[in-house]
Amino acid sequence: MLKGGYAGKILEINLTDGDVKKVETENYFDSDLFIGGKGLAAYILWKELKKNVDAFSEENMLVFATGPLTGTLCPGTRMCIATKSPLTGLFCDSYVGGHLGAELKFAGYDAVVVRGKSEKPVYLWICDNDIEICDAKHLWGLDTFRVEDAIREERGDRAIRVACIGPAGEKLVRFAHINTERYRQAGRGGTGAVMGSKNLKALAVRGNGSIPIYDVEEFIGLAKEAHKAVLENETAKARKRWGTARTIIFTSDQNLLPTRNFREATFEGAELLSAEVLEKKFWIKHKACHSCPINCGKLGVVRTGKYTGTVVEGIEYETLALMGANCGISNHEAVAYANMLCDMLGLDTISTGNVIAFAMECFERGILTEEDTEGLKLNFGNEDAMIKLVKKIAKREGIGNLLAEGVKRFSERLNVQSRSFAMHVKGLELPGYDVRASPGMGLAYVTADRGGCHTRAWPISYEISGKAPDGTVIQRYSVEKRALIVKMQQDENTACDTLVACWFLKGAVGKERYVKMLNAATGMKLTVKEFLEVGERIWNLVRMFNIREGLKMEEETLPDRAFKDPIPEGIAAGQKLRREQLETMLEEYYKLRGWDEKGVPSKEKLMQLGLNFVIS
Amino acid sequence: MPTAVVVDYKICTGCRLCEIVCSLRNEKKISTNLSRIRVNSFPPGIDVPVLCVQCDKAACIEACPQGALERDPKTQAVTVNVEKCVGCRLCVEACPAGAISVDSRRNTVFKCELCGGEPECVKICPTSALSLVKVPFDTRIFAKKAEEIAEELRDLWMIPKEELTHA
Repeated sequence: MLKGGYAGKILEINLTDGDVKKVETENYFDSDLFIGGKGLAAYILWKELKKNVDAFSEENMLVFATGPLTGTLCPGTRMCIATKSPLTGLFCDSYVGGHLGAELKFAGYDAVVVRGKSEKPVYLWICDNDIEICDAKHLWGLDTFRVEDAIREERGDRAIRVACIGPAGEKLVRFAHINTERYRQAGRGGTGAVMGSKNLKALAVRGNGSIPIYDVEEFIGLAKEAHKAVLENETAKARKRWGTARTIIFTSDQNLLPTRNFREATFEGAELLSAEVLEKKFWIKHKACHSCPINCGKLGVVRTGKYTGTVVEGIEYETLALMGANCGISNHEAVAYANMLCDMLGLDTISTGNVIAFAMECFERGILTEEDTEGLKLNFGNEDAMIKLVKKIAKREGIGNLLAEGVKRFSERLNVQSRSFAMHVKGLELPGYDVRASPGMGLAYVTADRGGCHTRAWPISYEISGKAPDGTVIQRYSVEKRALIVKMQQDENTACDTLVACWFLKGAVGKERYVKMLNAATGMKLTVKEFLEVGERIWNLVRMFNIREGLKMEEETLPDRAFKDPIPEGIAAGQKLRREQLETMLEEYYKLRGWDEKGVPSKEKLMQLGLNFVIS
Repeated sequence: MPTAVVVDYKICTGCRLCEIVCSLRNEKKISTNLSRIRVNSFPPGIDVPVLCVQCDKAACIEACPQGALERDPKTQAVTVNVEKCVGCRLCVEACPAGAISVDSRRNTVFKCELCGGEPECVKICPTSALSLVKVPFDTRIFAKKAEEIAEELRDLWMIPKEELTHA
């Protein structure tokens, strides 16, 4: 019996026949085993998604899942959007902050499960008991900012929260995102393209109800303690003032910053893209997601020059790294404008920056010529060309049509040589950390469930500090203890992704407090050990999902560049990974996970985790 | 002395912790609609919290035909006597800030009553955008509609009236 935290119902929508069902959350899944968020999504997709369906077929599903702490007083909560990714063909969970998750719960729903495909463009209206599949002909083709404005205006309510796709999602750009509140996105893995394939332009949510809390006094006390801990935490304080933009100086200094398609790992223009510059010249105010004391978001305005009129929340580190340094661009106003374009058009800035940088390298090497690019001089540092390419990708115009397929498919269309510097793992474009000076990050990318991703494990802090979690001393460029660190972080992060807690607060809040808040909100009686086991359970379930989809061990590797081209300059000059280093880490990692040498979870492991139902 | 929670609009981040803690404290559950403070959002990312500023010369008290709105002598807050309130909404219309809401379940109005003198929203606000002040003048000068404040912030930050398109 769910006593609090959860909103109580799950909404099932079939766009093919227009069927709408409301199911009691407690009858839907075992909350003790999966809690919510990623756990709920992984369980549904394992159980109900037929294997090997095309990501764009009407059989694919799209799950919007909140967690029992989403929308509560727990600091910084989000929601999870999961599907089978059109980039990787694997499980994909992407997270979005903002206010949509909270609003969905106020409307009475813990999750929305979307199946099927509508014949014509529609949007989904969710307001308490009132669920409508509405015509979206007038919204089709509009950018994400205009869609939100239009829905609010036609419904006469400023407080409506909208998740929508832009032209890129409509055109099935494989890395199209789902956008909320203009500047908050479920960015990675192409969730927006799946939404587009279903002819679903938007979800518009308004909730007039409330979220019950099991033990109100206990919960308020615990949450306030957590807030105090966050506001006193040094890392959180830095994020509060500088956002994620602060990271660029650190990564540039540490040879971790992808520069000119990951050729270099330090950028001479990093200081021009720094948080100090943004604060002085660009930012006007701080922005926070629902219930978050950190406000890592910064709203900025460009008031003079070529990009006058640009208004965007950011620029986030990943965007600075991939659309700035990785494209060789140091003009923060150009990056801000490109950032806004991606938000409007519906493109993930990480994948977009990555694939544009790849095209730039191809151009400089003569693999692409001006004939291929419709006259664009795609040299690194050419901001005009970068901006034009963003637009071409979103509309699948000219060469943009090829880039829209993602860096893996694009490189497969070109010559074999280009594959060695197509920077992806399993089809997901790599984010803002070079692995040559961070073997642990190499393992993290390779083993991340959704492909090359930095949010499942981030062992860099241990490598730089030189100390493993068990206190032993580790060398920065060695492989010792990396398997242990990566597994530990993956399990912890996955557990937190069920709540759904933002990973920027995880360190300051700590798992003990999360578990206490979860218990006080829901009336559950979970221990920290059981909570972490939930993380491990979901990690294994998603692994089984990916194996069912045909994941091969050969795919658990890095682009050749990581092994072949040493870092040219900086503190890690000369560094590159050796293949046997990755093999050693992987072997150790599989063993630690209780997986066989091919990376398949053993029967015993699955039984031990209560995953009997996945054993065929 | 007139006492009210005042807002530094420039530093509100739109996190809504004030709404959450307000409804939890006053209604024992979390609900934007039941919060006494409401954070209004305006594109492109402007956040304007609205709550009662406890006007000294209070239009709501004057408008109430039932005498259901009273001044708490201890906290200086304007409080609602739910026994007397009939939900006629004349106070809602009279309020210069738009800070009074209707509880549709009970058909009575509700508003910020300063949590008995120690407002929870002020305590939780992570940027100190909210503060409890005592001033030697009528706090009514703080009462403004959210739209009006959003317009002022737009001017302050020179946010262009014409938005860029992706063309």
